[in-house]
Amino acid sequence: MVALTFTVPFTHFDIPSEVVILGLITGLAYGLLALGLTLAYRIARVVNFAHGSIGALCALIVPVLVIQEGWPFWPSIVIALLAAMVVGVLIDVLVMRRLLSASRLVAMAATIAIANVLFILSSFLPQVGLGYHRYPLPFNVSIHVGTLTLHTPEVLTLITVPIIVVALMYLLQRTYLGLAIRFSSDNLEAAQLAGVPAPRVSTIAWVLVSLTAAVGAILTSLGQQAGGASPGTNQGVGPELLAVALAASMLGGLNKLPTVFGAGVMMGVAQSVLAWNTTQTGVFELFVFAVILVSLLVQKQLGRLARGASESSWSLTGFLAPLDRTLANHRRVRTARRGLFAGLLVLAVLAPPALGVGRQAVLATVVIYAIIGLSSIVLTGFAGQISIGQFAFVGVAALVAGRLYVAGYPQWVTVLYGIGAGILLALAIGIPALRVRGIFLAVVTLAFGIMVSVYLPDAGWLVKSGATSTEVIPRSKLFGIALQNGRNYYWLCLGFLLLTALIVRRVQSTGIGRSMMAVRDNESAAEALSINPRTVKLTAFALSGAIASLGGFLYGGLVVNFTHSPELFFPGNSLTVLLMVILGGVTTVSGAIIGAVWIVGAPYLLGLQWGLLTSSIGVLLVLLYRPGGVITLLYDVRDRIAQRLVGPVTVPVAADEDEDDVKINEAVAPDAPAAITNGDGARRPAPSDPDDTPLVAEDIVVRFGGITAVNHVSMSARRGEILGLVGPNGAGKTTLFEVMSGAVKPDQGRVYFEGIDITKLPPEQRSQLGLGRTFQHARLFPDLTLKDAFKVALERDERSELFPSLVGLPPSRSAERRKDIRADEVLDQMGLTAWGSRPVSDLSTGLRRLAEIGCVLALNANVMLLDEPTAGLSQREAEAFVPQLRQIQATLESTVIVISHDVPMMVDLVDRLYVLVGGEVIAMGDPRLLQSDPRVIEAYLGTAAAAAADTNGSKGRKGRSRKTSAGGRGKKSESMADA
Amino acid sequence: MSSAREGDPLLSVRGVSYAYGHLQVLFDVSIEVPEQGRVCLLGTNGAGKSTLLNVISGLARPTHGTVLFRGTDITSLRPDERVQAGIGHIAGGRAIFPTGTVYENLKIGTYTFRRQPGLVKERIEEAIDLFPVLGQRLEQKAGTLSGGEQQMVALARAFITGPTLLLADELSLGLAPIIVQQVAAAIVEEIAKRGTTLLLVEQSLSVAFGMTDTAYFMERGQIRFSGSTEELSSRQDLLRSVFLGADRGTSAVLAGSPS
Repeated sequence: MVALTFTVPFTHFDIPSEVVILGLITGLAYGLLALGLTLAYRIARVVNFAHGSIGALCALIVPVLVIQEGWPFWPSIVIALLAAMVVGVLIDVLVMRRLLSASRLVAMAATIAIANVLFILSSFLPQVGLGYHRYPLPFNVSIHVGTLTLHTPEVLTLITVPIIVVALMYLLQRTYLGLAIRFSSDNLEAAQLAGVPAPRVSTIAWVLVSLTAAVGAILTSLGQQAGGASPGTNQGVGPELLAVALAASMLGGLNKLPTVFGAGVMMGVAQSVLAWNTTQTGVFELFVFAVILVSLLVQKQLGRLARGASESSWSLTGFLAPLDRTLANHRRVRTARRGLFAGLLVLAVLAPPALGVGRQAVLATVVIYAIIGLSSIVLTGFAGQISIGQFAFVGVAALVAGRLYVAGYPQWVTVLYGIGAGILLALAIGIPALRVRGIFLAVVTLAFGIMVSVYLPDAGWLVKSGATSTEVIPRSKLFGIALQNGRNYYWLCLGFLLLTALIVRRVQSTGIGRSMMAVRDNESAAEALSINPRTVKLTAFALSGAIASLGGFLYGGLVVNFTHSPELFFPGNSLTVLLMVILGGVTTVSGAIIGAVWIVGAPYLLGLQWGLLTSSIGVLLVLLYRPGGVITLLYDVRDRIAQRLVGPVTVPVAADEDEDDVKINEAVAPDAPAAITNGDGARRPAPSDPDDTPLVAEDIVVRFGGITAVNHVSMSARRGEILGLVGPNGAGKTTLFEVMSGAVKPDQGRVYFEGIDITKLPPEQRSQLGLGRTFQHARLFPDLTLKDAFKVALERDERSELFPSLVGLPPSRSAERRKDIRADEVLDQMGLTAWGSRPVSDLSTGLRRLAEIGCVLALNANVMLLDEPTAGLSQREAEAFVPQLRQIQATLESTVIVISHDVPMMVDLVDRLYVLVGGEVIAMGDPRLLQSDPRVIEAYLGTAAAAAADTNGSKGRKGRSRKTSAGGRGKKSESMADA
Repeated sequence: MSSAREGDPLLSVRGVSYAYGHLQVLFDVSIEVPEQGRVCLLGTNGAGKSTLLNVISGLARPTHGTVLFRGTDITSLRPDERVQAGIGHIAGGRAIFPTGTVYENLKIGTYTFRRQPGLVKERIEEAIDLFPVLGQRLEQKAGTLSGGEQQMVALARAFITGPTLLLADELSLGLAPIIVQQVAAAIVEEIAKRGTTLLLVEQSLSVAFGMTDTAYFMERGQIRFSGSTEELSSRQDLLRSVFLGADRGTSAVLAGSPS
């Protein structure tokens, strides 16, 4: 074979055939890795960070057996593969199966923890002296291809990988097992109903994943140095390789296995060719990042997954109840709190002398990690944006500050520039985050972090100034304090930690933090309360970038002054930060500190292996049994101690009124306050002016694919009326609501609010104008207290400003006080005062629906759209609802539009009624008259005769074919007997 | 509870309660379905009908109560074990695997007896005989079928599992009436031939009354009425009060009904 070189026309870009062949071989390994990751994604909807560690652990078994025990090669391989199978079973049975219904982010965090546990386990294997040997080979060959010589490892890769890939494809495409795995990931319930034993299929699939990982790791280890992983140096498949494989998986839409494999091979070739043509590091990482980002933004199916990922977003946070107010205000409790805080502070300040010089750098590291952890608390804990690229900000700030210091700027100026650089970078990564969510955002931030961390330390303009490198210039003084002293440096870091902690506390307790948490918990509900999720997310990114950069500035100084940790920009550190805050508790300041002390500090106290093992297993236990982190345990202790300090003062427990009578029985129901039957007495005179219409929908058409969900519907609400919207399932009621509130863009038609055309406005601007709405599911903000949920709505009248909030300036403080008072008023008006400090998720459905209406009340909306306000309510709650809504409407003097299936309730409640069937208005007018309208009766009851007689009325509502065609508009709907 | 026939019922649900988190959707529900019975569950949206079917097929674990099938307690069995025991469930919506071909969609239904190739072949052929249109589309991706054909795929697969009790959820949802009639007719004929017992959840009364002879009416997670469909369809007052509201309150009408 002759070596050929292809040069891209008009460039110096050479593509020699040897380079391509070498790239192909690397690519085969990438392809195999990508297949394994895709398979894991398909079974568990998760990015499996443990893939590399599974492989590394199993691959290490071979040299241990061959070199140390004298086993032959192939039996050792068999043992290694058996080990992989066992690992696969354990991962599924011990962890993944238990997290089936958990948030996918929790599952992803679990794989990171599993990765650590396996990694540490592999360090327990006896590997003394292995480093002097090469990884065993079954035979020795060399094949010459042009100028290239391929040795046994390459030859084995070329043979083995295609065989495995073909076998895997066959298994998945042609066998029952493959069918079961594929279909379980498509639709788990339907697969179970077809007779597929879900647990067993999941276990087998994880075994396959583990086997793929093991084979891949063995192939890449062949001929390399045999010394396996030692703790601290993360060998095997680190995040960098994972990102490459993820890029390939994304190219295949995380779905089509042949494409995924092909993309993996292509990534290998691309890497090889890029490396041949450029000396600049970071180009391939940029390529990987670009591939991931572009696949997410361009591929329709992937984009849907990425956006949909938010629905099951970050529910790890749990709810941490603030100490009960009566307890917190008690003198003894306050003294104890202050005492505890002062004690901890004194302990922290006095720690260095007690520990001795060598440990001072460790203490500073813990403190710096706590600061970086706080950046994750803001971004992930508050705003729900998961990032595993925080060390990008750390690295950039360290280098920028260092560069400017070399250039002669004072330290305090370099801090500001470092933070500025971090903020810019954070905004740059925040912009894609506006479209990408959940684990996909995690992948994007991972690739971004890797790109930055590979590029920066090698970027001459940043790292070198003349002959000197910023990385070796000691930072001597800040504000006159000599920093070469380890104790002083630690105190400096401690001071910054205190400052950052105070700021994060401010964020948490003001509108800035509440808006973030609202967006985290429920983006559409936040929009409906005038919160702009884009602004909120970018604020969170900027703030988080700033905090991480501060940590980076300090970390840079630490590394330079004390050469403590050489891996300044190691992307794996970002994973550590994530685990740290999960372990401590992702929504609190203390969580970051506890996490840092445990994860960073434990290895120094217990030794590296045991320290890492306890923290990794700790994280797994937290994820499985204590979502919310170690901090939740401390909160329990706190409550108990406070209770004991105060003594037997009875804490008023919120009245649990609804739990008992959710269940109504037949005998009681008729005697219950029967609002449904006494409608006439309560009916107000209908609003007179039919031309004063605050909300108008004009000729709205909405199509989903071939289905016309709303077909030329016009509707107007008169000022001060309660307007009803009824219709059977699939009539298009909710879609019409979504059009009016801005969540769905109509294909045709306009919406006017108070005379303004709002058709093109996003939801948060509509709510800002005064258009409030509730949701069918009434989820609201599960982890906010009810009072805080109301305060979110109060942002409409008085938006929290960033800087006053952060530093606690008077305008922010007085605004907070006003919101507090107003929220109490709303609680009182809704009769929900007893629930004010309880999390929304503690409320029953009925109370949550009231709470949503309370939010609309706090929003001060002049038109409210209520979607199924009585669904899921008990009979008694439903009956109480009618007078309650009337009263609220009278107080607000607002216009109300209500959707409901419950025709009897509606007849009692509303002034006018629209009846929607199959996307069209079939009747409107006085609700009682409509009860006897034959069209309406038929839509609800149907008659066997009508169904039999009228078979020509199929409107193609579901099927992909027939659209409503000529004469569709205003067509009568005798045919809808099936509705 | 009124079971019209003598002897042990095929299915007996006893005192079942179920909650999604804080939201309780079933309250102490008991129903019985006799061997070869044709029973429907009626009620408005959110009454808990589909949840009850899920409890019977094992997709939902009840918080209280038991499910007996042929006199055996199956409350703790997995869904696939219940399929093996003879419970087939066509879940609401389109219970298909859109990325698989029609043939694969049918084949997955043979999972529990995959080691008997003869039976696999026979069952799939039977299903195609039932819906010949599927036979022409075996290699087509199921996601590209029309709504009616997708429903046929789901039905065919349910029959392939060889159920003695068939649970069908909202067959008519989103289908044109003519398609509903075809599907309904196919089911009625097939269950008569096989002696299958039917438990149907349906919003459309005309469809339900055409296919079943006994009805349970549910409201807000409880059984409010049970009796023959004939009797129910003659009680226009009851139906209207339930779905449209009447002069008397719903509860009052129900209280006077022979429950």
